[in-house]
Amino acid sequence: MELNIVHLYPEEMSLYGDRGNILTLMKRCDWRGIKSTLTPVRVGDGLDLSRADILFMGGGQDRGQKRVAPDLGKRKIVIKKAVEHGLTTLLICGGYQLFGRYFKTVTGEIITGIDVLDVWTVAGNKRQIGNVLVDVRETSKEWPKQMATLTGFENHSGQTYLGHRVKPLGKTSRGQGNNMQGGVEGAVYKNCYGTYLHGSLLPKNPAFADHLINLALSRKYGERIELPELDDSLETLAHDAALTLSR
Amino acid sequence: MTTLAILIGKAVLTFLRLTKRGGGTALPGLVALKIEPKLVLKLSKQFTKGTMIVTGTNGKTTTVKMIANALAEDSKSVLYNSSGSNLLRGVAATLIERSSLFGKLHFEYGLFEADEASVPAIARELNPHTLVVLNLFRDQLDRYGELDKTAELIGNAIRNMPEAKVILNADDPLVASLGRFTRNSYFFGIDSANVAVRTPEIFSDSANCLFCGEVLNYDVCYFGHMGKYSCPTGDLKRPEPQINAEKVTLKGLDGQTLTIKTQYESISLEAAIPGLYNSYNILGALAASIVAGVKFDSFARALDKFETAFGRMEKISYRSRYLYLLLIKNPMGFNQVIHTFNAEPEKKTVLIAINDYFADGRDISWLWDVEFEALRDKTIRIMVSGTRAQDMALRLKYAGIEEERIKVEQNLSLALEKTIDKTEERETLYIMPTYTAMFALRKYLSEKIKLKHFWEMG
Repeated sequence: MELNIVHLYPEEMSLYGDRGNILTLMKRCDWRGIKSTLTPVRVGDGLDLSRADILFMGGGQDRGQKRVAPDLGKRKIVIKKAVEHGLTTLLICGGYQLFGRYFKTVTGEIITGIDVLDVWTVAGNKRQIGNVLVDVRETSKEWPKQMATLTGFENHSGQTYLGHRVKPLGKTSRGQGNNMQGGVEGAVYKNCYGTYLHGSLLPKNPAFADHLINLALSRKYGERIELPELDDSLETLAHDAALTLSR
Repeated sequence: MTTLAILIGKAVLTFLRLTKRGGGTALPGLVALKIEPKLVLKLSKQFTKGTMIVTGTNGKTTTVKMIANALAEDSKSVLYNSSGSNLLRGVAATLIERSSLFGKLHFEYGLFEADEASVPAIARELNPHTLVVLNLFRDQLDRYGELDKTAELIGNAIRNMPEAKVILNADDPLVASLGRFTRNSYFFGIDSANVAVRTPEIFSDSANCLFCGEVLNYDVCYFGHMGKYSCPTGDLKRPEPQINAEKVTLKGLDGQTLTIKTQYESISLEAAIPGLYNSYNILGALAASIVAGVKFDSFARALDKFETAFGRMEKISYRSRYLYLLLIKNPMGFNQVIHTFNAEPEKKTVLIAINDYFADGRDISWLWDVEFEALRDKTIRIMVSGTRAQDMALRLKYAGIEEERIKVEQNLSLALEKTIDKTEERETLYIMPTYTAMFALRKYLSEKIKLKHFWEMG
């Protein structure tokens, strides 16, 4: 079995350890004897999602996001089609925002997103920073291993609001999540997941990582895949320690 | 109000020292500034040869110490802040501590390291004649937000000091671009192919052109985003440095030799401090010293004797072992520390201590951008400690290091003792702590052996 990961704009959009998610996916495949490949896609590169199993985009600084947004816009049709057909996608922070309808900056400028997720973001004037806990018991019911809580770290001033066509990733039990009012974090549409969680996200939440791998492989090979269990004692140790971190 | 502020500041300082609550490197200043907000401005007018500021993400403390030593070697008197009192309140605290009861200071030079975001506030009060900007790396994003905004802040401060000499690292694109805010720029850089690496290590720092956003081309890259760069559309190109290291020879933890060309001559320097990151600190210090009129011989002598500042590459002897304290704050710094460690012939034992208090940075995601893969050599013993020991252990697992090799002990002093138990006498233990972990370990060690107080290490 083989898993192909496409990483959008790795240089501009890997701001804060987001590469750790790619590392986690590839290692967890490797430890199971599953080969994985990584294809970076940069501004101006060709994008072929026909053989992609997982699509990933991380967060970046304003400067990087401004550069990347128009190029991403050129891929809108290709990406939308793939996500509609069930492409497993993970988006962190800036990637999450740019896959939405638009991002409105502090100065009122509108940066158009690619409208894959029914979300929109408005720049706020306070930063939401700190450790986050997200209750994902509902969301993870369909996962190979149900999870109670996602642990991560948020750092954003963007206030993201969800439309009707997405569900939140979960309810925040610590931290704020998408915006200061909501009490929910992230967004899910088909197999596309957007979130503000750094950490990196996947290493301490291995059940989520395995769910993404499982989704991708099952879709590729047309049958429900049973991933062999891994020894996650270190992951669990780190995850449980994170449950007690202060904000 | 000035006298009152100083008296109360000194009282706070004495109280803190007597009750051993901490070094008093900031609180006295905070209190005093509330009484007399213009305290720093007023007191600093007494420096007969003016003031200098050093800033940057990495290397401020080391560079300040180098400049101070060079000035002293050249028989010039200098007052400088030390060990992390680099906010405005820290500058105030330093002035209060060193002034007489009535606020009299008798120094020629005032030399201050400034936290990047504090440069505008500190520069406004000091009105320096020299500013050194060493580098700008992504560091503790949960404190500052973004690199570009930090650069903008410093740029504005530079605009407000048109008479000052602005010493900039030519090899750092974001820093070099600050030259556009002044007519008095003075660049330093490296031009030594033997220390270049193949491709830039880019983790979203500033390897894109500030003006047009294009990815920069690098003829030569030294580490991170440092090197000889140019923008493909021509907006940005590395400026020719007036202080140019034409040959850098690195000798592991033993130090380095530099051959430097200035406008006047070609000179050779020896230093006992390791790593390319310190090469830049040396160049920045040299530039500032030249501007201050320090004779080259004095600088060379001072550098030759130079011992690193508190916690930055500090060597301590304990229980018949040698401990190297190598402070780590961000991916670039950590990569450099690992790189230097790997060049050591006797590398064996590592203690990585990761805390996540405010001063360390609360978000430890940056650990996933550090190249721990370089520690995969099976002869290396690893212990992880600190408040986020478990995250660090997990990071190492995903770096391909076998779980059995990773020892976890959150308690710092226990971790230190346990690690030493596993080593032999005369072995070297490399400790890589974040900021507060370093303080805690030093405190523990100073209770066991006679260590200088951090405020004495200056």
